[in-house]
Amino acid sequence: MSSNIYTAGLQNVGSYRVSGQPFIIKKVINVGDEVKVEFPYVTKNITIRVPTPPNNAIQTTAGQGRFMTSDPGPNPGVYDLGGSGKDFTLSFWYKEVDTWSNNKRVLTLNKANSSVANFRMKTPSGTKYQFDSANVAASTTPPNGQTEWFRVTLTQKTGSTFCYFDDIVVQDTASLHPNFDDFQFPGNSAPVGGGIDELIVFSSGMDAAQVAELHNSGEYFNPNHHSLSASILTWHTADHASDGVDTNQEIKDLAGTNEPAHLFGTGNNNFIAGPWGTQSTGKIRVHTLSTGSTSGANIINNNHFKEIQGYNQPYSFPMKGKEIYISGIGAQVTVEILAELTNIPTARMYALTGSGIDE
Amino acid sequence: MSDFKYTTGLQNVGSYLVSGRPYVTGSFIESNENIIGTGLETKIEFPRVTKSISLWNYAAGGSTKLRLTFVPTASMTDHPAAGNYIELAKDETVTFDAKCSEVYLSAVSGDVHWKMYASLTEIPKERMYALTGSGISE
Repeated sequence: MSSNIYTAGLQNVGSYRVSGQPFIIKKVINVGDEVKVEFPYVTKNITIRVPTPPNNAIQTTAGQGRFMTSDPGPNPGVYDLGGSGKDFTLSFWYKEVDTWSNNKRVLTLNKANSSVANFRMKTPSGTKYQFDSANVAASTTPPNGQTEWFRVTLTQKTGSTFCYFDDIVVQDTASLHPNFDDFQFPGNSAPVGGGIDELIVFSSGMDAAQVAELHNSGEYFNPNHHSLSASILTWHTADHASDGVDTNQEIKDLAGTNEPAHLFGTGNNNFIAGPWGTQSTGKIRVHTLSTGSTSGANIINNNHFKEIQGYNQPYSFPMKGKEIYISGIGAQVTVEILAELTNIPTARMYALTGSGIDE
Repeated sequence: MSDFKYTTGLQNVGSYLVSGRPYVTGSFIESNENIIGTGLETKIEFPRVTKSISLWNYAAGGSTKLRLTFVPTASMTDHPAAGNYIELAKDETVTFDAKCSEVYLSAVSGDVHWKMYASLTEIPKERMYALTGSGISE
């Protein structure tokens, strides 16, 4: 009598014809990084997708809409930044909604509920933007147009305070920033509303490369994967209610201890579409062996990879395997991996190599 | 003479090759039955083990997100950071061949309207094992 026990296996047709056990995981991949995804069982099908990013933004108004840590926040506020030994970075996406006019204040940074620095898109003379308490006009014009989102980053580093629009330094004060403990959009005095998204504060200054890393070529960026992520103090985004969202006139802080930012308690709080409509710079490469393996250089040289770009454009790989590798190109990319697994133990899967893999 | 009875089962190929029994929940007509409030979670229990599942977020709000998991989010390790979920924006759909007896839907940002179609096997749901581990809850 045969002692053969018929079990799941690589050559067992039935192992692939039954519906698979689901496997879902999301990965954030920085530029130049390679991520290995290991499966608990041999796969029968793998689908890769770049999910649509969170794209809800706050719209402040001059009249009632506010976005701030200062009201009804504690006094002193939530930060102790700016000044000697207190480098910082404050960064956000911004869009003109209410027409910019001379001397109108987009943002104020406060100390004990009093403004210590203002951010204007047009100076009192109306020719340039300015920020900080000093009337220092920038030498370049700001982005224009009511449909244009751009990234604003203020950072104090090495005794100076810099303002970036996207990746360009548009102002360098050559001095420390005044100490502040709260932010407020827009200012109480001479307010102008606008679109705001992804406001993040670090307790460290940034150089140009670190700012560019944060801006991520204008595409959605998960700051928890920034090289200075250990110094993130607060991260306010208008999406993801259950993760910490925009309910009860409050925007939850997704970093560390919750330091909520408040909307206008009885006002007209609005939300608009955020900065991300398409993905044009970031993309991923999917390959079945690491580029760092013995013949890994061939994976790139001989195109043994599949590139995927664009939100919600899934690509399926009907294949057996126990691992895949995904590389980030151009910009940080968040990716969703959805696999259908057989019940074949991964120990039975052979190592993928050779033609079509790494030759 | 053997008294073995050949029945449907998780490892029975034929159970998945025959056309599935349809399972539809939701309606194309606007109704409150398929709304999940912001931050809430809904459990969908299938009467039999699935062979495939399709899910559609047809919420009115442009910024809504619908999340699908195979276990309650409260039971997951390091949710949402671990990323064991599928997230659909407005008007996005997903279809995949997976066996399971239940799924969980949650509204991430804004109230969502959802619709689900499942193709079911004849395998009793009691035969489905509890999904857990890598790619499910951690």
